[in-house]
Amino acid sequence: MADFTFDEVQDTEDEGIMQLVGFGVANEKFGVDILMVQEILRSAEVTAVPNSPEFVEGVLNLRGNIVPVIDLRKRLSLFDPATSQKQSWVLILNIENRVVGFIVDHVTEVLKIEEKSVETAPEIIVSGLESQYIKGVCEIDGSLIIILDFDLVLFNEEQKVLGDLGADTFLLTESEIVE
Amino acid sequence: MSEIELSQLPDFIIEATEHLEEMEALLLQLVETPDDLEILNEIFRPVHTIKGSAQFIGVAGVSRLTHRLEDLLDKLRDGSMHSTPEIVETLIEARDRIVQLVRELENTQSEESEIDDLIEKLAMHLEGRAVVSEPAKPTGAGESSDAGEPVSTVDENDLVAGFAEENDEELFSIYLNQVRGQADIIQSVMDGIDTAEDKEQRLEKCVDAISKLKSSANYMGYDDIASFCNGWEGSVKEALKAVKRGKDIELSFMDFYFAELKQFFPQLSQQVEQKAEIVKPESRAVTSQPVANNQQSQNAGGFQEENDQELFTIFSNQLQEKVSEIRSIIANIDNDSDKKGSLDYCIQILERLTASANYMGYEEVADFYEGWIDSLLEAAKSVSRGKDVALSFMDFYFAELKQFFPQLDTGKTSVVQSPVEQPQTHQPQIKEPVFESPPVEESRPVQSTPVADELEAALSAGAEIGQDDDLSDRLSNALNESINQLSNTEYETLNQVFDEMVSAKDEAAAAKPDKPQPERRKSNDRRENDDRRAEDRRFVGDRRRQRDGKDKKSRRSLRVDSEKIDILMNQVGELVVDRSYFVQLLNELGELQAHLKESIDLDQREMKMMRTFSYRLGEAISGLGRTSNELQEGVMKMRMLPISQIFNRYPRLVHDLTHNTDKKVNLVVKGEETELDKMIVEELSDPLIHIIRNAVDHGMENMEERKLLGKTPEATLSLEAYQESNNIVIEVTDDGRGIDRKKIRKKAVEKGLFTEDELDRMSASEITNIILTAGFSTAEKVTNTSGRGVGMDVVRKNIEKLNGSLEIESKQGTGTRMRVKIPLTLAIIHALMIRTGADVFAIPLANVDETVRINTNDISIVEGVEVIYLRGQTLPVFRLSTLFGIKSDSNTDRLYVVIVSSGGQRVGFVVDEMLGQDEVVIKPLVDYVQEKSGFSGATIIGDGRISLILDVYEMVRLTAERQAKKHREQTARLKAKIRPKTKSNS
Repeated sequence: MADFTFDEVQDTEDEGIMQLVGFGVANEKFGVDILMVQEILRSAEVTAVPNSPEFVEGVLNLRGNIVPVIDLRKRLSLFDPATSQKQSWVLILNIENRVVGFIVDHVTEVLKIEEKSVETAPEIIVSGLESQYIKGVCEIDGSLIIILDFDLVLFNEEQKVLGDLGADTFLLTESEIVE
Repeated sequence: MSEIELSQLPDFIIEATEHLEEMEALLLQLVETPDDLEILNEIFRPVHTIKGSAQFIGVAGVSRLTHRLEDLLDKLRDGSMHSTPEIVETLIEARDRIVQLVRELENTQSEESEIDDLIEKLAMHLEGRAVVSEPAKPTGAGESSDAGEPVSTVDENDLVAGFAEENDEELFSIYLNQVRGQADIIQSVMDGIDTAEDKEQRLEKCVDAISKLKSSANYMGYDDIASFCNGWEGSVKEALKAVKRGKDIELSFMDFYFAELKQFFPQLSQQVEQKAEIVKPESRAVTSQPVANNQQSQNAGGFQEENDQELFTIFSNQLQEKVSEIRSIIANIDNDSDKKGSLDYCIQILERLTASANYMGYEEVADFYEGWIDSLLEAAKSVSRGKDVALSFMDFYFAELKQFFPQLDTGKTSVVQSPVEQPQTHQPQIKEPVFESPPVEESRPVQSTPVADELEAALSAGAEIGQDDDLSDRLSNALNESINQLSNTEYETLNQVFDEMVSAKDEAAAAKPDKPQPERRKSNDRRENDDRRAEDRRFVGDRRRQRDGKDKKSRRSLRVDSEKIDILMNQVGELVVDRSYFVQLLNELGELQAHLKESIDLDQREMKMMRTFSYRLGEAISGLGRTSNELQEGVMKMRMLPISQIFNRYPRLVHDLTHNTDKKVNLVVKGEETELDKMIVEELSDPLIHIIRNAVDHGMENMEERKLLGKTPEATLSLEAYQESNNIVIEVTDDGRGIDRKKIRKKAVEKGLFTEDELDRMSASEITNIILTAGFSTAEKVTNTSGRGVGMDVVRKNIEKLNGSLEIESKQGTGTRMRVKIPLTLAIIHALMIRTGADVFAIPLANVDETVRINTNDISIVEGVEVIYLRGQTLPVFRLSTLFGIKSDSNTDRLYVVIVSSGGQRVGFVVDEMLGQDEVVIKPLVDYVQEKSGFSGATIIGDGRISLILDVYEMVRLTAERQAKKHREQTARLKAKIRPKTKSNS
């Protein structure tokens, strides 16, 4: 993990300085390497795709390209109705040339952190966030910023989909109601 | 060989693949008509092109193999060999190997497969010809045995054939150059030795040269040549001793050795020609022979064809200029005080020419220049040592050059004239006709076999008196006389001896003297000119033919990464969407106008401005619409490919399928020029292979059976493509045994797919369609009897993925027709736009049978499924709102139902609203979103919203699965036996 972080830092212009786009989901604060962020949309119209995996919010029209949108809250199982906001943001990330949108609650300013300050994620993480998606954590102004490993978020999610998808996925509870 | 030029490799692979495809089609034609010269010529072209580029980027294996292929093809083309089925098979095999090599190059950037076995095989075919031509050899062989040469003619044949394949070609050509150089030295030394004062010195030089030859032969591992050189050296040393003792010597043995040497190296007699490869040996040997001529001009045509015309013009202009420069230098060199300087200058010029030949990619020409430079360097060296040089070789190179570029002399005839004429042309300028002799001298290295003794005598006499203009005239005459005295038969023998690999045969008798024997030119000058004119005519004809043919077309084409076109397509789609946004804005402007008028109460003048603006905006938008539509159409067309791209693969498939079987199939292909979307073309390939394989393997009877049935022994398989409105229809029709429905029924019952009852109710075509059922296709026994079924469900699935459909028509005993219907393009489809809740969906029109409006009470529930009765048929209906978990906003009793059909089933989808028909641009969904969702993609509609496109086949399948599952649960719950719904969905 630590090595990986180091590699990331090489990509940024300033030696040892990492620029993060900060965002919040539920009660957590996250950061993502600014180089991965393609753009940030304010409440884009997302078209739901029926029968798609639960965390797939749908697709959105990004200047003619159809971009899948993933609800990060659901993806990371951070569901907490108390913090649910009506107005949400969509972070368009470019993950290894795959453009994916992630719905987040709010986006903060760009954070500059020293790569040295990034620590390996502790085993137990608040809100039950699966530590496998965490690249590292760092502290800014007394609050903990979680740096997500989006490669894994997407990768694992695909894996999961492939594993989970069966005829069952298609079954909707509503269909029972019709009966 | 050099390292592979990796940067060029991708282009090479694409190019080679195309040529290989072309070649395959041609080879299959060749199977039908093995001796069709036209086809052979056409096959030669891709082989040659591949070889050229393979050499250029350093792909050794491919270039070796294609080189051998060329050799074989050459023989087939000039008729000296007849293609047998074995040869054609070998050709096909070789092609496949090249395909394999190219594939390896693509994957690993290196060639891995062995090619030696094939080279061997090709060589065997070539040698087979060598044995056939054996009778042509006796004269030469007789001479060698007279001379007591241990090497037999047959051995030499093998040896020569073996050379090219055993050794690195490059090394070999270096060696050959050296041999040539040494032979030149020996020859020039021997010229006039009889009367020369310095016999001793000359012989020493000779020994020196021979021993050099020997050591290089040793280096190359040519034992036979080494021992031959040894013998030669011994003889010369003997002679030298004799001379030293002041005795007279008989040097005629030299001629034998020369003859012998030339037997070893037929290439030698042709000088660089052999190496230069562009012009094939026989074309040189038998220029006036029609076939060879044709070929030569084709080669020349090939040059132009392969390269930019403009570049070529520049190139040939430069060439002409330089060549005439060299010519004048050489012509004047005898008067030149600084011979070395002049020669060096020539070398410089040639180096420049080499560079431009390299730039043009004419490797062979560049090689040829290098050979020339070598010779010149050799000469320059001799000059600097104060020795006399025979510059006769220059004329040979000039002649050679003309072979490469026949066009050269069309413009400036005098520049590259035949060598004999040339000195004459320049005589007036130099005012001292000293140079009458060169052509004579030059004849020796050129001449490949012991010409009759008298010619030899004349030659030596000529050399002896080389400086005497008067005598040289006499020599010239003597020479001509002696040539004329030579009977045609002698020439023929001669020719066949040195043209070991060539086979001019009958026609050659008349034709051959021209090129290899420049001195003959003089006497044949007129004929030569005529020939050349004929050649030019042919050349023009060739060009014209090409202009008409597809070659011209392909030269105008541009290779573009398909991804770029996809991106462009996407952008264009975007533009179309933007346009609809504008339309929408215009409407809003109208509303705004109304609002302004009513609420703000603007006066007429202000309103008029507003209206004018709004009108102009409308105009602009419709203009934009026209342009974007045209643009869209244009981009679509770019993606279109003729279906011949895949049709061309099938002759081979049929060939392979019937190979070694007792079936004979005549494949008829029609409408291969029909164009459709590139992606579809690719996607269609496999399903069609399947259909064809089924038709041939199972559908067709063997010849015996067919005879018994009163059919033609040769079965016919027709492959036809044509356009039908917005669809392309591909029909695969065979006249085989057809589908046996009884067998299908039997099997279906056995497999438990259907009950007898159900089958009774089915129509004939429904029963036929059972073979498309997934479970059914794997039943191997049925395929043996019914003739169809292996993986037909996969075929259907693939075709339906393309929004296409598959229909089967079959009559038992008379044949089967598979009808594949697919949309013209995948990128844009016609769709029925419907609305459910707030979402808009698109249903491909291809799947839509009809739309109906029903009342809620028309729906009944059968076995837990909502069904409607439509014209006597029971159709299951599904509410999209339920399927998609969307809240329906329809609150009336009237329901819209879209009846769709897919995979032979019909179902109805209940929707909230029909929005009409539209053309939509399909955009893919990411796999994890698309997978199992029942959508094939999405499209962006006018207002920028996304509309999902239903994958009807998948949707029906998923729905059915869902139903099945629900029923299983129900069944379990009720413990009642309810027939599963499987039937209707598969």
